[in-house]
Amino acid sequence: MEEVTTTVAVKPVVMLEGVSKVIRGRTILEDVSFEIPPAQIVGLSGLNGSGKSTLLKVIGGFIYPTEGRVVVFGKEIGKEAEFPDKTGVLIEKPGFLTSMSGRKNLELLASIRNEIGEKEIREVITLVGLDPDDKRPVRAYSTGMIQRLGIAQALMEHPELLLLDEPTSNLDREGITIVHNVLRDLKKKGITILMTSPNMEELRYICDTVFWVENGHLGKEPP
Amino acid sequence: MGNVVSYARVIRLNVTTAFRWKSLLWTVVLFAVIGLFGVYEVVSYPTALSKNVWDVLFVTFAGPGVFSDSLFQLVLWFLPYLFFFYLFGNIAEEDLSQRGVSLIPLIGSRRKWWLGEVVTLLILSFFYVVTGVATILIVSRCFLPWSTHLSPFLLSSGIWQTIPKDLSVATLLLRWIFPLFFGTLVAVSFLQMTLSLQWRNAFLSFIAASAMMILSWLFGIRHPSVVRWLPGSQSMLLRHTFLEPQVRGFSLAWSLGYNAVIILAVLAVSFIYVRRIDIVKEISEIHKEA
Repeated sequence: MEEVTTTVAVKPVVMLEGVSKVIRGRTILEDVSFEIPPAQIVGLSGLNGSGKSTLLKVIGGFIYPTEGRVVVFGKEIGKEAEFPDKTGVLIEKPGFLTSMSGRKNLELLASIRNEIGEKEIREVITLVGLDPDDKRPVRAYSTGMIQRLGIAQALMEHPELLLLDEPTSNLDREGITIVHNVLRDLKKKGITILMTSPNMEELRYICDTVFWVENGHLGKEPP
Repeated sequence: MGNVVSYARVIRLNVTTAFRWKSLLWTVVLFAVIGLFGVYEVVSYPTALSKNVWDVLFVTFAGPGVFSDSLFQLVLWFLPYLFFFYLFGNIAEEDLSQRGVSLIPLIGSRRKWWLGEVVTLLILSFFYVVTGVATILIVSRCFLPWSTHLSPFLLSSGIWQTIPKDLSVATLLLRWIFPLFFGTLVAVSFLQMTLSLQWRNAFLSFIAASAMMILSWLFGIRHPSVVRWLPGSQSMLLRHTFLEPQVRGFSLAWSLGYNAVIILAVLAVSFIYVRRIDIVKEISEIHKEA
């Protein structure tokens, strides 16, 4: 009997078509197109100023492209949706209220949508290696602890897409291992992850696909 | 209903973010000092007529008259505005720069976030005015008697010759001082908040709002025909027709309407502008990517 194979078209979670971004006459991204299928970890690497962070911000809806289309979960960002649905974000230095504890900060942010409770917040804080009962204000946290709290915030509302800008920067070896393990677990659960890092080796270790960004263009490998 | 509850949470978060006990303490100190100057002015006035706490309230909120170039009057009137612009005029820009990336996607839209900032500024303005008035009354009470009526000193033209003889405490407080102080504070600080977003620079917008108040005082001096068009004049009781007949057509209704037009115009422009605003500061983006 002849074996029949069928190919099911997998709808990409993220799709960019000819995206360019010009800020004050300076081209930051130029004609970028790519797709990210579900449950993949995709990495963006490049030198400082290459445009990798801008790309993440465009996908997250934080800045709009000058040209081109960004489609996330089937909705065009800036037209059909202002921000992508079900997306957790860690972009730039996380901005928390420094006079409150890490848990209190997450509780305040979670209260906006009121979709998760104290139990989930405690779990996600523990997941990134912090103590949910730590009463110290965020101003007493190290840079690495703030980074972990930022990752916890990105994860707390059970996103299906994660946009992480240099998630392991400022982390010690233990922190990096925790984050890598968390990302692998999330991938197994079907979550799609797009992350940046200046460290190509790290991305090759953790990601399914790695892109090299240079002068606003996307390539597969560094020159 | 769900939206309202969600909005209430956003506003609670905004107020929690903007409010500092230290700011409240300094607000009380500022108004206490202003109140003491007011007390000094009232107590040192030579008269046999009895005085009370409402005289101080009138003196501190009357603002400079159209024929007054007294720097003391200017400072007494201007300091509460300056301090408010400093404390709260940049809440939106600060929120956007420091927490925008975390906060706005949770709220769901830039316009919803902006509306939250607008409501937050309204709430903060209201409590600032209430704190100011209450502090001045408490400080005055340490030196002058309390009364449910305005003093013979105030009503017999001891302070200002054209004060209506039938003026009541309720009119002075609720129809004159509160709406004019609150309305002008809201109008100018809305403008400051919008400019801070447009320029992405809290310091420049603070300077712009402060300059607007100072220039309103300066351009109005000895120019009765222009005072009613100046934004800062709207809060100066002594420049209004009911207290300064040489100024024509500058009524309470005019000031309320003037402030309402500014507020609505700023809101309309800001809601259009904020719809496609970049949440990440452009300038930092260029520097980082350059």
